[in-house]
Amino acid sequence: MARIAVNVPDFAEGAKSVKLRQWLVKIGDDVAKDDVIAEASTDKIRVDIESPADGKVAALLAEEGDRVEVGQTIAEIEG
Amino acid sequence: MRAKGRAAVKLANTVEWLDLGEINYDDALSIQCELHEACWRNTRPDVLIFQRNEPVITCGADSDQDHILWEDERLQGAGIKKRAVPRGGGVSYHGPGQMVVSTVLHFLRYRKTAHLFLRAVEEVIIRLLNSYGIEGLRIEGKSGVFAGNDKIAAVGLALSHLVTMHGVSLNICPDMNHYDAIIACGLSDTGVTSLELLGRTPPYDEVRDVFISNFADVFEAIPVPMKDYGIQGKTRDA
Repeated sequence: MARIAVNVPDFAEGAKSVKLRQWLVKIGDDVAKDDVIAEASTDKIRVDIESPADGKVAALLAEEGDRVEVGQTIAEIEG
Repeated sequence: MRAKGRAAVKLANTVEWLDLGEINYDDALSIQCELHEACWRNTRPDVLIFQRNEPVITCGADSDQDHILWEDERLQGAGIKKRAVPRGGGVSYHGPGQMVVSTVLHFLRYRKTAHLFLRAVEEVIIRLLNSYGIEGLRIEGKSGVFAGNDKIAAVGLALSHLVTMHGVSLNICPDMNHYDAIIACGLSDTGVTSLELLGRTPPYDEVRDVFISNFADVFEAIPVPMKDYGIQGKTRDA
């Protein structure tokens, strides 16, 4: 099965990183495309991070509380 | 290829607006979430939602509980609820006499970044205040709009599926004593104010319409009243 990367969305040009607030899934969970799998935030803006595909959560690559870079892969979905 | 001599024309986006009137905060949030999903699934156009809430302290993603200064018992005695809400920013207050505007919009249609979008929402408020002879200001490093050193409008967004939620609240004539319960947005070195404190007492509907007019200019959008949104099985007129 292919692994599909979940990257921090480029939502705000100029904002290079966001704080990963909370994972809403755990490894092994089934997810559908567009399901919100994590919450992050930057100044005055809370950002949902969505699954790019249907599948199963195969890896979570960042911890709650981490600052993660825009474009960084923070999870993998096995689809 | 564009015809020679013909300027490129940017088509304005249609944005519906809906005034929920006086409504329970939780009910309004449910409606906003429903319209947000319809918007990102592209089954409805972008929408502005106006509302007036009962007294409620809302806590965003960056809230510090120490910024709520009153104990729960005192809040309850004053009729003020507390809610954790899915938006950015810190502790805020909503209540009667305040206009809350939720901006449910595909932000990339209007600005290149979410932060520029937030600045544009502030610009709408600055122009609105200007029409009442008040100079609205931004303060470096602080979000929201100020009159002098006092905040008159607070902003906070959530972004999901590239569509924004929440937005801005403007103090028209709220009970300012309720602000004693919090350190609004975590800003201890600025105060809060309202149109009323600045000597203006326009009716709510007028302020809403001035907002819509300035929104149309700043966002280059065409606002139209929403007429067909069913709430609890009834058709609600905007």
